[in-house]
Amino acid sequence: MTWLSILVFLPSVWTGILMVHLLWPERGWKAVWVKVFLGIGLGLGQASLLDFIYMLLFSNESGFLFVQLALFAGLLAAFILRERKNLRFSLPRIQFNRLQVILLAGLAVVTVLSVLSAVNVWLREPHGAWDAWMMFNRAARFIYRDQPGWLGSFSHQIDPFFHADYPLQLGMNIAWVWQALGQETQRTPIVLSGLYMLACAGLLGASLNLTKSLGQAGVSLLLLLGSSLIGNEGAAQKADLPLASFFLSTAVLIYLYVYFKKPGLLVLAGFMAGLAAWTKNEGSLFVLVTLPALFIAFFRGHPWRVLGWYLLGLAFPLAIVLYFKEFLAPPSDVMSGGIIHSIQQVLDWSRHVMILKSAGADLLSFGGWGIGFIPILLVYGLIFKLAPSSGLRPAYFAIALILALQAIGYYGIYLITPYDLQWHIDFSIGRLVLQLYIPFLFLFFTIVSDVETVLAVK
Amino acid sequence: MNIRRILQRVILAGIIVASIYFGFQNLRAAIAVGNLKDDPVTAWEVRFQPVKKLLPFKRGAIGFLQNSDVLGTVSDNNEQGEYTLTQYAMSPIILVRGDNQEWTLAEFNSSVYQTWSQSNHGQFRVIPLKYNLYLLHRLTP
Repeated sequence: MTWLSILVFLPSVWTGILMVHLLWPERGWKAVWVKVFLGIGLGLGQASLLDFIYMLLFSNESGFLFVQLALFAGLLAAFILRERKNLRFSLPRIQFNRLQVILLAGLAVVTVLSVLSAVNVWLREPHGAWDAWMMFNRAARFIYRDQPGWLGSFSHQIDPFFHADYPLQLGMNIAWVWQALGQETQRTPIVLSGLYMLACAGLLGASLNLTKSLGQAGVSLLLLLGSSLIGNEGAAQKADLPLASFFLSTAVLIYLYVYFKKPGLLVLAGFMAGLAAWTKNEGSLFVLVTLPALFIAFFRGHPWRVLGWYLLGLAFPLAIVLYFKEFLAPPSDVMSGGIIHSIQQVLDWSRHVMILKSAGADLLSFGGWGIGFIPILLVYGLIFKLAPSSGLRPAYFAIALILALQAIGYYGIYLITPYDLQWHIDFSIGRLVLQLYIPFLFLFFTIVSDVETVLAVK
Repeated sequence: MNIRRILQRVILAGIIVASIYFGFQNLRAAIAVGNLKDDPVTAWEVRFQPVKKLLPFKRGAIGFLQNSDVLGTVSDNNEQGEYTLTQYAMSPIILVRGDNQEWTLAEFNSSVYQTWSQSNHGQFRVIPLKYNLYLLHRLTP
């Protein structure tokens, strides 16, 4: 069932890769890898969005796989038509210097350890961690097990504890693959989590390899895979790594837009941000913060043009999210305490102190290395020196502003949470830091000097 | 070689060694968590197969009662966890806290069941099942 699940996901993944290529026809092997890893998330996201529409229209049918196959065939035809004169296959000539060989050897060991950790988690917890089965795999069961009555998944009778208001990206993807396979197997959400782990780590490495250097990609991946973030957290089937993957994709695409000046990249960035909103409620906050961040960061250029391209990509996934939230989802629990109570909570200084203390403690220890990754990166930055490119300043500023505003948003949600604050913080802060850490890692390594240049290894 | 260059090499070597060391520790920690065949969710699922077969419908809502509902106490983490697992296992049947539905699934230990049956005598047809589960069919509207 593992291989069959992979096989069923493949047309969607290929569709994603082709969509990226058609909007960003950059050539070269380094760009191809970026497209592959962007395409995984985009492909899974578009499949989930389209399956949502399909289920609204044909909830008695199980033919969504054919929709994906038809879309893939159409895009493949468009690709061949456009590229027929340019299609030449040549393997890249790769030469590694000594530093790169050492980094890649270390990375290979860490990758193997990470994969073994993930396999262990998958075998031990095939239904995933608590959040995974309680929210996302449960949603998939509601959709798959009662296909004609799948809208009952959002019944107001469901205890708010189960978060039936959460967007459906993961649930729809699992359910449509079960429909295609004709059976419910835990291998499907396992494969889905594996694809997001691959997309996230792959995109971080490939984008830094494209825009900076192979060594820079290697160091960033060592810091990602050497922690439990991918091998354990990613394999737990929760939505945080897919969400982090869409945050990272948006950040990478904004950076690539400034780097290559191709508007198609902004369209893709908007689409990825919309997919974040379709994955988890924190994604809706992400959409909200990206708009002013882009406007401010590109204020000296053409902010309206930038926002226009971005909104073009954002429109479709955001329309689906808004439809879901407006017409199907039960109310969210965030404001369930009432507006007056929320204002009282905001004015309570002890809550601010508690949040700041917990956030500070988590930032100083995050990563599981004894010393937190943030202090490690701080020291790394001081020793290797920052070398920002003046031409890329709007990209740095946009990504930094997005991450800062998102963190402020999380702070605000803690302030007004209807739950016991300390419990809420303990339960979620590690996951929130994970969501922001991966795009931050990308931003950091785009600004810090290339490891090859600093050590003068040619 | 100046101090900065030495530090650069040291920190890079440190990252490589630390990532391998902690990657190995993460794997060891993952293995130490438990037996690969002891997945509590899978074990929990097995309990509810008979309940699903006994219910006359495949979708809709049923009531759900636990010890704390009878004893009037606050449900503890174990009960909350079992409630969550049960909802996952019973999907797409919706569990609604209380006994206001036509059918109710109860998870009582034997003494709590005795207490409950004394105060609800004649109101439900009771189908006792394994694992301290009772399927209750309301007889009175």
